[in-house]
Amino acid sequence: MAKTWKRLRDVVTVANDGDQISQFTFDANDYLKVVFFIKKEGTGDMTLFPNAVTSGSNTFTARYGKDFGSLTSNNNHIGIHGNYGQLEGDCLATYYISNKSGEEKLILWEYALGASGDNAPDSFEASGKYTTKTGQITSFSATCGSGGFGAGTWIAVYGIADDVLTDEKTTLTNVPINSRYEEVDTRKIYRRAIPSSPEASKNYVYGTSQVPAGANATVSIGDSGTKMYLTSNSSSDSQKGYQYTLSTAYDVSTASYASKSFQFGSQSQDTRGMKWKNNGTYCYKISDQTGNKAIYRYTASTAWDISTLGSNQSYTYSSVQTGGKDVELNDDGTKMYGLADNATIYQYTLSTAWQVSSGVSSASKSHSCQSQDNAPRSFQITNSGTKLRYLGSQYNKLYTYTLSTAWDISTASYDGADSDIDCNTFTDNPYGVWCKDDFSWLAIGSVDSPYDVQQFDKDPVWKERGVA
Amino acid sequence: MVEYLSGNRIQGTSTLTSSPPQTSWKKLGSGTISSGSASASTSSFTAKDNMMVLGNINGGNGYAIQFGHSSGAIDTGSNYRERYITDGTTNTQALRGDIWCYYDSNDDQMFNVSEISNYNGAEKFVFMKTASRDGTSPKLNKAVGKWTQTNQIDKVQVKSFSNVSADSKFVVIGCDNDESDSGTNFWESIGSKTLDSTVSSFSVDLTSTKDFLMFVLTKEKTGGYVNPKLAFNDNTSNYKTRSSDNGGSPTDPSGGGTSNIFLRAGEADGRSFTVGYICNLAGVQHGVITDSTNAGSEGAGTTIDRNQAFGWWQDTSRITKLNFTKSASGSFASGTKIEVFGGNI
Repeated sequence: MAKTWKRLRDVVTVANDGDQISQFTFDANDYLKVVFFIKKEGTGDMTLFPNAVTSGSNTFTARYGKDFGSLTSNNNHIGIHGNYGQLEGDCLATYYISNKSGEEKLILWEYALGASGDNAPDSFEASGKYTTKTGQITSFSATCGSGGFGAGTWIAVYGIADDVLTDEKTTLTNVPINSRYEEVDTRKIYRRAIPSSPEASKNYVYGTSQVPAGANATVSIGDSGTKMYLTSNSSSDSQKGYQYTLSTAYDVSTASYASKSFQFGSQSQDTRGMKWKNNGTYCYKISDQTGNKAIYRYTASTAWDISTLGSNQSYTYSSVQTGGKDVELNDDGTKMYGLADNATIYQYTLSTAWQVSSGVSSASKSHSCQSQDNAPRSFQITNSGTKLRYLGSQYNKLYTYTLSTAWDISTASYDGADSDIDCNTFTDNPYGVWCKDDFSWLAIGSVDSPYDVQQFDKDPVWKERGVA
Repeated sequence: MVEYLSGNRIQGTSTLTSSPPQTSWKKLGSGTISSGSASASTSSFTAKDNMMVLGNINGGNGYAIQFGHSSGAIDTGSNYRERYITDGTTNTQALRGDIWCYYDSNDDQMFNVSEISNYNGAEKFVFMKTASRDGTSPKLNKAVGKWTQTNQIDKVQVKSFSNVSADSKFVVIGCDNDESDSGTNFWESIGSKTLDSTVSSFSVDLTSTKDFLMFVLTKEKTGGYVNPKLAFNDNTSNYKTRSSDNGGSPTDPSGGGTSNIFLRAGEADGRSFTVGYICNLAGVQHGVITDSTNAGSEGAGTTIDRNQAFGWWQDTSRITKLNFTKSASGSFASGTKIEVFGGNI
C-alpha cells in the first residue's frame, strides 16, 4: 500500500434543526480536505472556526466572491466564511487546507449554494488563511447565523495517511523457516512469508504433434493461467500458433491441446515471440523474415481464442532494430518493445494505445543484454514495469534486470549473477519464457527433445536465498 | 545495503508495515463514449454520500452530466438547474435536462472535474470545472448545479451535445460518510517531495502511470516573487494556459508562454497552496485544472489572492514526471512540499 487519503475522524452530523456545530477534534495532518453538506435552517452567514478561535479579528484573512464574480478582499475577519448574504437552500462546500505546523494555514474553499424554487444555484469561491503559525488545525466548530443548521447537516474531514512501520529491527538472527528477505531500500529488509509447502516444478511435454520438431517454439500464457500458446517458426506447418488448455490454472502438467490454432504464415514467415493484450482481444507477434521484419497485431473475435484471430495490422521495425526475436507491450498499450539480434531491447512509442498500423515511433531508448548473453531468445517485462527477464542461449540462462523507472527500458540495470536462473538443469536449448507479473510463477520452453515446457512454482532465486 | 555476517546472520533493518485505512474515495464506475456516439453511462453502482467524476471528451460539443437513481434510467427530464461561466461569460439556466460545463462545437477536447453531494433525502449539488481547448487555444469554464431528485445517485451519464470524435472516458469515484476500511482507495500516492534546500526548480518522478492525477503543493519561498510553472517529463514544448486572478476575466498569462503551465501561484509574493487535477489518459492531450491561494505577507491585515489556471500539455505521452520551475526573482525554499496521487479508470 501507499499513502492515500483517509477519514481523520467519524463524520459529525447535526441532530436537531437549529443546532450549531460544537467544537470537534481530529488527528493532525499536513493537508486537510473538508466536505461540508449543509441542510438549510437558519438564514445567516455560515462560518467554520478552526481550533475554537471564534472571536478576535486578527487571525483570518480571506478573498471571496459569489456567482462567478470578482473576488473581493476581506482582511481581519473572524473564522472561515461560507457565504455572504442569506442562505437560501441546502449547500455543498469543500475546503482544501495546507496545515503545516509553524506556518500560516492556507485555505481554498468553494460552495454550491441552493437557491429557492427553480432558480439556479449560487456559486461561492474563496481563498484565505488562518494566521496562527503555532501547531496545526486539529478541531473545527461551525455556526450558521442565529438560526443554526438543519438536522442532517454533516461535516467530514480527510487527511493524507502513510504506511505505519512496525516491528523494526537492527539485527536479524535465526531467520525463520519459510520467510524470505528482500532488500528494496537502503538498509531496509522487508519480510514476506512464502508458502510452507511450495510445489515442485512441473512440466508439459508438447512433443511434435503440433509444433514440428526443430522449430523454435515460444511460450505465452493467458486468460488467468488457463491457456497456453506455443508458436512455430517452421514452414512445414506454415508458422502456426497453437492453443492449449490448462485445466488447473498455472499448472502446465494439466495442459492439453485445445485443437485450436492460427496460421501466422499467411502474413509473414519466421514467427518468433508472441504476446497477448492483457484482456485477450489482441495478439502480437514478431516476424524475423528477411524482407518482412514486422510486428503484427491480430484481433481476436473471442478473447484469448487463437482460432478466432482475424484482421491484422503491422509495423515494420527494420529501421530501428536488426532482427526480431520477441515482442512485449506495456500494460496500457502505449509502449512496445522489440528484442533484436544484437541482444538489445528497443523501446517504441504508440501514439494510439495498442495500435501498430500507424503512430509507432522509436522512443530512442534501448538496453543491451550482450554483456550477459549474446544469443537472444525471448524476454518479458514484469513487476508492473520494473523487472526485465531476458532469456539467452549462449549460456542457457534467464537473466534479471531492474528498471529504475517503470517501463523505461533505458533505465534497466543487471541484477547480478545471483539472480540468474540456470536452465541447463533441464534443457540445452531454452526458447520462450513467460512470467507472472510478480515473478511468483514462470514457464520456460525447450526446443530439444522431449520438447517440453518447464514450470517454476515460485521464484527459484528466492529458493536459493532461503537456503542461504 | 545489507551486511552478510558470519554465523548465518544478515544485518540491516527489518520493517513490517501496516497499511493506511482505506476510508476515502473508491471507484464506483466508469464509461467510454465511443467515437461516433454522444453519451455513455455507468452501470448502476452502490450509492455513496460523496462523489467525484473525472472525464475527458474528445471533440463533440460540450461536456454535461446526468444522473439516475434506484437502478433506474438516467433522468433526462427538466430536473436540473445550473449557473455557469464560460471563459468569463456568466449565465444561469433553470429547468434543464442536464448540468453542463462548457458548450462549443469548435472544441477539440474537454477535461472536467466534478464534485457532487449525494446525501440521501436532499437535493444533489455539483460544482464542475472544465479545461477545454479549441486547437491550441484553452478556455476556463466553471459551473454549479443541482439535481432536484432526493434519492441517491447510483448511475452517472456523461454526454456531449454531438457525437465525439474519438473514444472519450470518465470515471466515477465516491465515499460514504462512514466508508468502511476495505478494498483500495482510488487515489494512491505516486509521488512525493519535500525540499530540504533552496532551489530554482525541482521535479517529482511518478512511481506509476495513472489515468488521472491529483496534487497538493505548498510552496515556501525565499527572496522575491516565485511564480511556479508546471511542465511534464522534462519537456518544455506545447503548453498553453488560461488563468483567472481573483475571479477576473480569464487571460493568457504573459508569463506562461508555451514552455509550461503558469500556475500564477506567487503573484502576492508569499507562500502559496495549490490543488491541481491532471488528465493523464493514454492517447490524448493532457488537461490541467489548478486553484491556488497566495498568502501575501504574513498577518491578517494583508490581502491575499486566489488564482485559477486551466491549461493543456499538447502531447500524448503519458506523464511520468512533474517539473516545477520558478519564473521570478525568488526561489523555492526548503519545506516546499508536494504530494501527488493517481487513479485509473
